[in-house]
Amino acid sequence: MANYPLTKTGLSKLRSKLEHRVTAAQREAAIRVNLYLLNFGYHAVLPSGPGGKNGNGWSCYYAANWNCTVNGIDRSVLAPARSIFDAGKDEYAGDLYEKQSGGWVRNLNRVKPGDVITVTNSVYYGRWLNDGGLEFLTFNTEASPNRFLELAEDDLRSNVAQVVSSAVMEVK
Amino acid sequence: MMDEWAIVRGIRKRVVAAAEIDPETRLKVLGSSFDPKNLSFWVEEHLVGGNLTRFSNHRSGCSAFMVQYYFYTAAGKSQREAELAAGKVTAEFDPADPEKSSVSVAGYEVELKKISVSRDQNSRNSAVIVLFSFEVVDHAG
Repeated sequence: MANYPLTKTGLSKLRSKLEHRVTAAQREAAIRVNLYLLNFGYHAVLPSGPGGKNGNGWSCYYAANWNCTVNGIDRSVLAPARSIFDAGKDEYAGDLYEKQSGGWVRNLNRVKPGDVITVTNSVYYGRWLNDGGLEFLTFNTEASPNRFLELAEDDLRSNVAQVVSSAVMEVK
Repeated sequence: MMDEWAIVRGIRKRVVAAAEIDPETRLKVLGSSFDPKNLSFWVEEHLVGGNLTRFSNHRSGCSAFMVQYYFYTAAGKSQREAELAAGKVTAEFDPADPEKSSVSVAGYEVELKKISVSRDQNSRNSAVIVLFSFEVVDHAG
């Protein structure tokens, strides 16, 4: 780390750098959580239709609605451009990431110190997908809990050193 | 490779003893042909698993290995039995007490880190959901 003189300007520069590093760490953490959740979703989706046997209840409709917002909660719900039944999951995954990265990654680059980043998904049946339970809101008949929120939190906790070090590398 | 089901069986033994339920007639686990039809109370077990980490000393483990239990009550029946069983199970484990937090499974260090309890209800049944989060270290790698 560079040396900063103990003057008003020097301290102000130090403060600014530290603030930018914290912001970069926030951004890295949000991206990591979001990518974990997207990745989880792709692996949980099985190519089957109504009446077929589904995986853990994820749908591309659900996966398409993960988002990162700054200073607010995104309550909008997108309808995916392409149905799961028309394309393989890998093909869809590529589309989704491209679509998402256009929006939220651009927003994250504008984060200022003190801003709050929220990773959201406003699809109404999210709680059931996470917690499981005997609910028949969709055509899925499996009731397994996914617990993707807890798993994403654990992934972030386990890799926090990596998140911080990449934030430090980002703001030299 | 970590034998996840061996760990789950170790946890199940403690849960069944604490809840004082008959595993043949009240417990639904993966692969069993258990049918809860006509039952007013039953327990369902789900393995969630966790993010496997490989350590530099060739061991592996999970910092949050999750197993979830549902204590179901059929709609219109008293929830007393489910609530009592869930209460007994959560009292059996305590992350702050070394005697109550470890589960004995051969070859694995299994330590309870967190218990979270939530409730869910729909037109068919109501459930007390108990989620156990364990830290597991596999000595064999």
